Amino acid sequence: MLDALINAFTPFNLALALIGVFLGTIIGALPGLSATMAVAVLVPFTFTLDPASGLIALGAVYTGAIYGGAYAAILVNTPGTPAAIATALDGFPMAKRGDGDLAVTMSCFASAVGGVIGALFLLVLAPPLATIALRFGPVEYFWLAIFGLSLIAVLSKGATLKGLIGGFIGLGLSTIGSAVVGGDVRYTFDSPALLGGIHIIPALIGLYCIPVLLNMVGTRDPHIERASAGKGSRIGDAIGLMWRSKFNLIRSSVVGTVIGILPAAGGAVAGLVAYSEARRTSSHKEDFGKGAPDGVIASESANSATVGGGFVPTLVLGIPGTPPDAIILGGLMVQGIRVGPQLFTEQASTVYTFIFGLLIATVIMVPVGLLIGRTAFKTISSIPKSALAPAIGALIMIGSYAVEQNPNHVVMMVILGAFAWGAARYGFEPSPVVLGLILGPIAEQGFVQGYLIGNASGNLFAEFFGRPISLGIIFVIALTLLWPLWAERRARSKVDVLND
Amino acid sequence: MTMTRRDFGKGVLGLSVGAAALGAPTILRASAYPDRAVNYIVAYNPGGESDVTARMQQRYFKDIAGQSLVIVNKPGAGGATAWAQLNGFDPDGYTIMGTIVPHIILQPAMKKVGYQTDDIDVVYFFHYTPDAIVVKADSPYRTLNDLIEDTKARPGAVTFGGSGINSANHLASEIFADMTGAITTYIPFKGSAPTITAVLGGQVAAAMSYTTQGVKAGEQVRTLAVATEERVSALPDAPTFKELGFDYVGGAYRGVAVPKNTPDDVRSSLSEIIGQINKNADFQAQMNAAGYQVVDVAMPDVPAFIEERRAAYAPAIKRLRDA
Amino acid sequence: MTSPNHRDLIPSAGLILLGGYALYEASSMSAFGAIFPRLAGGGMTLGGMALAVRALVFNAASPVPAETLGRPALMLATLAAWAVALPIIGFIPASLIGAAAAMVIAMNDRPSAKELIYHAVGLTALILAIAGVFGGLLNVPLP
Repeated sequence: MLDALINAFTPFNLALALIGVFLGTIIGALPGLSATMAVAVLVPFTFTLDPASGLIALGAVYTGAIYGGAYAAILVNTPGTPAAIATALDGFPMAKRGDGDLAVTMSCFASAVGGVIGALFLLVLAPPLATIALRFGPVEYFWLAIFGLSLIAVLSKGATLKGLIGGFIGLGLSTIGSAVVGGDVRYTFDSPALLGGIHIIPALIGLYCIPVLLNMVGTRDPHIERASAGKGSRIGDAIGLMWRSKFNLIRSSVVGTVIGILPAAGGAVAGLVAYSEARRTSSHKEDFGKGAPDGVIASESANSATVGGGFVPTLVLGIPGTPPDAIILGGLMVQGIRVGPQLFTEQASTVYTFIFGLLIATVIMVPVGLLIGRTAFKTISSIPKSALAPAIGALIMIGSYAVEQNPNHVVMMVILGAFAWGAARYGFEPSPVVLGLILGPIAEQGFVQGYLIGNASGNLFAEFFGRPISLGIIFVIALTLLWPLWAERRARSKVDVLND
Repeated sequence: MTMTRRDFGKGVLGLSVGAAALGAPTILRASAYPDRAVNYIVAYNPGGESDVTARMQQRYFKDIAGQSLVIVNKPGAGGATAWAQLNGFDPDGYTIMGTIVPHIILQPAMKKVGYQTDDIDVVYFFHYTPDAIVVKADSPYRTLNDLIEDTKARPGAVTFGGSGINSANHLASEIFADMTGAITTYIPFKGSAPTITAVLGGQVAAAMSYTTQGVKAGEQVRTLAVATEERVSALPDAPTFKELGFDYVGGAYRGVAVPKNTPDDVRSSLSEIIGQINKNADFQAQMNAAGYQVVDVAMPDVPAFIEERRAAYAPAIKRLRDA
Repeated sequence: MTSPNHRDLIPSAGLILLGGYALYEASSMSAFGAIFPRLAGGGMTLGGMALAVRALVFNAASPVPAETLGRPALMLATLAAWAVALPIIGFIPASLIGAAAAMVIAMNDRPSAKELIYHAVGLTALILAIAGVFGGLLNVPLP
């Protein structure tokens, strides 16, 4: 392993890591461009590199893009990947009230911690962790998706009905296209363009970014407040906040890693769960959603941890943990790298060089990220809206097109954006819809597959309710849904006691 | 000054040479396909079988044809998105597309996908991934017979994973059922990788997949049977269906198609080039090592091949449609 | 215009319609394929009805947003036209026109000639840079 470490430090690989992180962060920070797209367009370049270096380059870009995605989430309320959704929930309010630079700096540090923890897990525990992923069958995925959907109800406190409705709308949207199970072609109005369903990245951009864009031209107020405190990137404040929140930080990173290990569900669910856990255990939950630093810390460390975590199933099982992993996987296969547990034994030097490179990239993130973050914040808060709006417009056009080179995606993005903006005027948030869109297929596939398997073995009930991991998840669902009620009752009875 | 006859002659000569010089490039272009890079559209994401084999061809295309092959991935709807767009491209031979049989036969037969099988003009089928039945390495099924016995003992209880519904894997499992009388339950997954993972995790008893997946999973799986004429070199321990008494040879045949109305000479040139790539020994070695079986169904043989395949799939298709 | 008390009736009506449509379509699907559409359609319809009940019975008002309607609508139309025009006239022309339109819509005060030129140059540079990087460097086939 030592020579892999040395290998990672070669000037060439270091340069790749640095350039990758730099490019990735910039791409991720630009609203409308996503981590998935960044990796997608850069993959062909890695074919000429040797496998380890190619992996390092892609991993660095991916890491940078996830970090950068936080900036877009905070400054423009546009998560660059599903994993950054929770960051926008508190990051954007922070930016609107003038704490944008603090949010950016904090997300940088939190991401670094999360990324390192995720990469360390990958380094040390990948093959055993992969066996956990193997134990997750269709039924477990079903319950996991239900858990994610239940988080919608919890997180929309205050607008629960509209949140739930949003979730159902997202669920409905997710059924458009040809069903994996059932073979029906649903809600496509016979148009081949809709056959593939609604792609998550254009949907993400449309549902989040376009309403922001439209509201930008709707008022005279500046988009976000300039830095309220003096100059500097408020590093001191950021570190202080993080230290106070250290338990949250570590926990979120671990949650992010573990959930990131689960293929397909990874990114979005990880960020959400970390965020909701942070809120549940916080002493000032009402702040969440209005600009609580803890929320940003939780979400950012979790989603950076999913980078490392997501590589576990990708490298060991050949199933991508997150959408960018799918593309990286493709790139690997083209290079002729056979993924599987043997990857860690036969081609150990390649894999370990890559993981060390990832760690290095994560650490390089801090100075690079701070620099870019400060620039991004200054730029976005000072550019007049008359230039910002068209610039963002151009970026979202290319961003939604480039993922799969499909102009229909761009139109889809605008349509969804129009819908989201209209819905927002009536009090509907985009997050539940996006969650429904992401989790719907997972829940559906899990349900149908589980049903078929259970049916085949003759014991449907045992299939859904008899498996240990499933029971664990069901327990957590119950906990999440019932805890707020129980806590409220306890608080109320305390008040009653006081009043006697 | 009046023009002498000589001047006139020189003028005409000059003009004709000029005209010829202007016209020559077009004449040359028509006979020297390709004279610039060719876009090769792959209807799936990078890393899948279609993509990997296209990239293997890419290398040799440059050597043989002298121009680069630029691979463009246009995934969506199991390939249908790209195939439905095929005839919208200029029929000049500079945009070619990878296609798969049975997909282009099955998809339009099962639902409205935006194209018909006859719309796809394939000029060459250059390989196939044979169907293969795969189980976990420590599965109680040591031979195909064990599996068939179990299905007879517990009809419908044995779960067969596969990629997609009404897809090649699904079709193969139906054909298998017809052939052996084994009643299994097909569990669809979103792709080959999740299918194999489900096998490894014990979620399903077996998978109807391809030899390439068996090769990829290596020691972790046991391949019970492969649908080829002779044993696959990359899987020497896997018996063929024929050996076990079932006349089943088939899988997913991948080919290259051009938009309709592409001129015949361009089509022939393309067919020629692909044929030459197929003859290259290094190319063959690369393909075989990964489990792909090189075949040669050149342009003249394509229509008959498609008809033959259509007939072979017909009973299973009918069953799927009536289900 | 609806009074603030009953603003929620509009989305509620929309939801019931959409949900109803979803359920209607779902009736012609296979058994398995219909499960989640039914769930979504049912949820939307019930949600819409609950919303209506809440609006009418409890008069729970959702606040009218502060932003005006006119310019965002114009911007939306611009974006839509931009998206549709992309494959037809190409990325660069569509983006130049779209960006110009967006710029005009987003302007709050009359800009000076100098500001206008800065904007135009900056945006054009951005668009050309995007086209260059994606189309040239990264081999992404732009429309």
